[in-house]
Amino acid sequence: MNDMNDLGEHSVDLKEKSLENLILIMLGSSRNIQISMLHLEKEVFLLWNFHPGIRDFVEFMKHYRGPFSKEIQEAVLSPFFLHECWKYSRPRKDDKWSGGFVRITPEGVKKFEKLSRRMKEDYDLRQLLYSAKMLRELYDKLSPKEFLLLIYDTYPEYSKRSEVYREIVKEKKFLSLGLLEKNLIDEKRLASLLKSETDE
Amino acid sequence: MNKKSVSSDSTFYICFSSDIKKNDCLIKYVNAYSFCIGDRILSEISEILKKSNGLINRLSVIHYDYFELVKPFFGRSDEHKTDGEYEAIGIGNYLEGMGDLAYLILDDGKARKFVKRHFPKLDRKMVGTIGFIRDSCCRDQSINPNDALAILDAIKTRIENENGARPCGMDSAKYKEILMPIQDEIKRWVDLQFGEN
Repeated sequence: MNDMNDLGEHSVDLKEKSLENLILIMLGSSRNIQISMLHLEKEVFLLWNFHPGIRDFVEFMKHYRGPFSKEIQEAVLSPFFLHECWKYSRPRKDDKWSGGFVRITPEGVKKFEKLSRRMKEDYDLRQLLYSAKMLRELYDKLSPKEFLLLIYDTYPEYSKRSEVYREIVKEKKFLSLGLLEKNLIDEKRLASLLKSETDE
Repeated sequence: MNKKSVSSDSTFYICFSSDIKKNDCLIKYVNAYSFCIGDRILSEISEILKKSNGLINRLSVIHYDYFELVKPFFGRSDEHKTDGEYEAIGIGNYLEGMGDLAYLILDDGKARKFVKRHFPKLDRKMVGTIGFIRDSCCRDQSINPNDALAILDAIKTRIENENGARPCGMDSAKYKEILMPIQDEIKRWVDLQFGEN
């Protein structure tokens, strides 16, 4: 994963730089300039399962809102290398789901374009780049609650029982039917969500 | 000239190797197009076929598990562990990103619906095995019409002669609806191209 990181040395700086580049890739991979923190984190988690190279610089742990990465939170809030590339805004008081929003800046778009040009020249990085686009296309259209439902159901090993969890479980039927109605899942997935053991 | 890139589910390969036993035609396809394939789909193809005429060396193998990207839409159930369709979609998406994708071959109805639901760009490149045989002949002129017609004929014969056979997801009802019109289309195209005055 050269360039994304030069991770051969595994220094703290290089890991941080790689992670910030990865965040920039996720932010730049859609025309939608804003993404919720929840979406960003879960989409990186899916990428983490897909691309072994990412495991060198991000970890995920079990959390009440599904797979959680302290490194991503810190890098978004206080980037060390990529200053002015994105802006984080806190969630509204009545929003307990999104975790806030991250918006790519014009400076970030420029850096993303430069980085993606370089990534296209490397086989492994290309896989990462186009997968990031695929993830944004697939999951951005889900609401934070819908996304969390799918995540809780698919990765129970990363999900802690909590107030948030119980609330999603309580709304499971409504959320699942909504996903079907919006044509985002099929009948089979609806059935598996409804009979799943996300209940306590 | 660069070959056109194709991502396909295993049904395409299996159709040639097991259903109609025309490995020679499959080799013509992998010579005419650049086929990208993932580990899941590769595991569904028989070892004999992989070794046949060096097929494996003519395929571009991608060792990333694309199913991981779509997994939340299917859940953690083991029944999807070997699904190659979603790997083909992921690879199709990768090739589309590179601007290289010419065809995404999917015969499975659920996988086709998944593409229609989530990836309108890929939908435009999506064909079934039968549609691909037509396009490779009439649109790209990469496959000889005699070969294309022979393949379709073999599929038809297999369905007619063997109860329950479903080469490339085709059954006796579907073949009348899909395969036969395409056979006629190719014949008409041949007449137009080569004349039958």
